[in-house]
Amino acid sequence: MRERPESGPTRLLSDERGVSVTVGYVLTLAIGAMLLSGVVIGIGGVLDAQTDRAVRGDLSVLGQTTAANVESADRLARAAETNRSSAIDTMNASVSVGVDLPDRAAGVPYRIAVDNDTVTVRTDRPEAMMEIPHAARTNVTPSSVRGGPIRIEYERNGAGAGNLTVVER
Amino acid sequence: MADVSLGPPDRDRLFGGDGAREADRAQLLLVAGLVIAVSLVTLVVLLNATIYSENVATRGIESTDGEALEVRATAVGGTGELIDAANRAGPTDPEDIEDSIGDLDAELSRSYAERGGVTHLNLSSVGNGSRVSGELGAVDPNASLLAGNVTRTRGFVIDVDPDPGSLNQTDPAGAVDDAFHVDLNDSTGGSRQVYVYNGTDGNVTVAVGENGSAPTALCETPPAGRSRVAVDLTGERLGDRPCPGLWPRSLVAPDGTYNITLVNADAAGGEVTATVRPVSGGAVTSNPDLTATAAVYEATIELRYRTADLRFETTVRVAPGEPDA
Repeated sequence: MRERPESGPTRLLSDERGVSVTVGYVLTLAIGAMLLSGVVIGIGGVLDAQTDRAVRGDLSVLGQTTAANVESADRLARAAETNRSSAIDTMNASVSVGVDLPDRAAGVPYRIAVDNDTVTVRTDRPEAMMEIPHAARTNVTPSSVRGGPIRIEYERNGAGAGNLTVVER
Repeated sequence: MADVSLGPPDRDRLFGGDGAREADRAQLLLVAGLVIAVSLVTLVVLLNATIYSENVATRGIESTDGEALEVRATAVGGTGELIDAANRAGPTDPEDIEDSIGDLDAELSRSYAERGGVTHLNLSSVGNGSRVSGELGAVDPNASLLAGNVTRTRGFVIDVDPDPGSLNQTDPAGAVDDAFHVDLNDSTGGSRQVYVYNGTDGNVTVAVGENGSAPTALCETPPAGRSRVAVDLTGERLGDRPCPGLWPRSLVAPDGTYNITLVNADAAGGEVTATVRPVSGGAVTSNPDLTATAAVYEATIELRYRTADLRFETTVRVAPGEPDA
């Protein structure tokens, strides 16, 4: 007499017909690779966007700090020049303001460029730039320095107009 | 037929044992987990950096120049007061000024050392002049020379008695003949008059005119029961109010010299005081009814201020009460 086949879940679990080890491996690897790629692509995009945002935020803060200190140095330079009659034009007026800026903005090296109107801070990777206008009335020597501790100097020896200069510290 | 089916998971396949090779598939999950973990850590670090930066940015940037400007204002103000106090006390010896500025330097150094700053104040030079003072009632009622051939004037104040019996009452049209006025006669051409009188409304009024022409009323102030109203010509103030335009722009830093003359002095009562720098650099020519004493007109000081982050060095000319350029 022929044995009656099992029915229901027990039958399905024990049924191994048409199941191939090779196909199983390939499917597992394919699905795993797709999942991994999705994760890498998805998180990589978020990471890039956040890095960009962080760099721009830091550049903005660093630019504002530099602009504020350039304006401070400008106020001091003008104060140093006030009430200097022609008789004392040969004497010195000297101002130096040190600013402790970090070497990196969100882990990325950056550069600071200063001219008569603006402070520009930029990074190459990711490519980001912030321009912060400043209100200094003293002439500013256009210069570009590596991001990090800087010094804003003003020197006037004798007659003639002095300039504000930004140098690395 | 061979059995090629994949059996149900068992302990050996999952955790090692004889079938350990088949458990290699789980490395894919480990790698994925590692990637996710590293990415999340990086993200957290970045976000923290951003939050910190924005926090720092919104704290406001502390102004580094405030204290240096404060030191400068203290040094200039202190030196000005020393000069004026010495001049009021009588003929001034520049060495006294130097000693006093040495004391001021010591006080400044002590005060700012407590805040982490180093100051140094040094008297560089002194400019001599004369301090002229006197009663309006004591001088020639027609015209009295207050100071002749001067190049600079500071602290020129007339304290007038606002009582109508003392200060003539008139209007701009009659001021040329009836009001007390100061004539500033520029050697390079032109003259300027400053009239002080009681207006028809009872207010002490100041008017200015040029080359003897009818003046224009500039400012007025009610006497308000005061026994004296100060007309500060070089400070451009009437009483306690500013009065811009009182001192001519051309005489703020003139190329040549000018004479200061008091005219119609009998039309006002009160005192006059001025510190002038004659072109000679020494004594000034003035009416003998007025008292002229040797005084320090100006001083030049060298000021240095240093902190860990700041260096400020300047040379300042101090002449308190000089008209603003």
